[in-house]
Amino acid sequence: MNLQKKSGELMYEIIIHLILIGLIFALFFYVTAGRVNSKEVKQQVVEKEIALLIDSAEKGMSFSVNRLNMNGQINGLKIENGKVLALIDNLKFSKGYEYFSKYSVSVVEKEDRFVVNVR
Amino acid sequence: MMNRIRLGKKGVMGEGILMIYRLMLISFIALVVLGVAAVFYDYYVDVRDVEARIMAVNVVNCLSPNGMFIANNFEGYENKILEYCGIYNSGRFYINVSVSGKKYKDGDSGLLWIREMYVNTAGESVKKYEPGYFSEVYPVIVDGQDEKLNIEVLVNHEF
Repeated sequence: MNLQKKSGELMYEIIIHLILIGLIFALFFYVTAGRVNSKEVKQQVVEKEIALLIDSAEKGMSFSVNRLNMNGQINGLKIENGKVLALIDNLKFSKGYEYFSKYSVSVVEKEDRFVVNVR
Repeated sequence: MMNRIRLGKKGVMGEGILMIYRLMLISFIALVVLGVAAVFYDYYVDVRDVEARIMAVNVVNCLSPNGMFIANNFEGYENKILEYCGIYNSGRFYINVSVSGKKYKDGDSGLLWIREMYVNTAGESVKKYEPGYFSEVYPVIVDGQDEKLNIEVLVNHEF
């Protein structure tokens, strides 16, 4: 009876142990996969390309950015506090990249693309 | 009997400590692998030289529209030409313009020696902190005379 109780406790401990190890590794693989897929680099490329286009645009110009392009699926494109923020694939966060254009910039979201207006 | 109970409690405590130790060891290994992956897969896209070039074109177009440079227009703006042009300087830019002996600038000139330091001494690992640079000479007309406009633009990193 006592032996059964002890083996039960041991089993219980091992299961908790395995669950915790599993959680640590799941978190680790999730973060590492993000790095290996280089989504952050793609995000950097999209944001910097758009910021450079804005910087070199003259007043009245506008350009389109396709949602699905060679850098992945752009789920969100925003202009906030003088920065371009792009959300690629399932990335939820972006530090953004600042532009220095003196004109007012806005983004209009269309079904398959984003239109950036420089006014 | 009492001794047995005490030993049992010590055993449970020992198991607990061992478990925490194992978890910490696994977390540490995972962090080390993550750190190595972060270093190997991290990549910085450097566009500062391009930004410097675009900024130079914008400033030249602002100071000498159609190639005409009228110095009187910039009185009081000798040290804040970006403000004159309506361009917001977040602190990343240094602009130095010289036309017919007069100088116009904006931003922190400390970027010049920072760049010099990186060009002369820095290795590949710190290269991403080197400021972007562009320098060019444009022909302009000042009071009906052909002159040269020298522009130098430095762009600091965004970190």
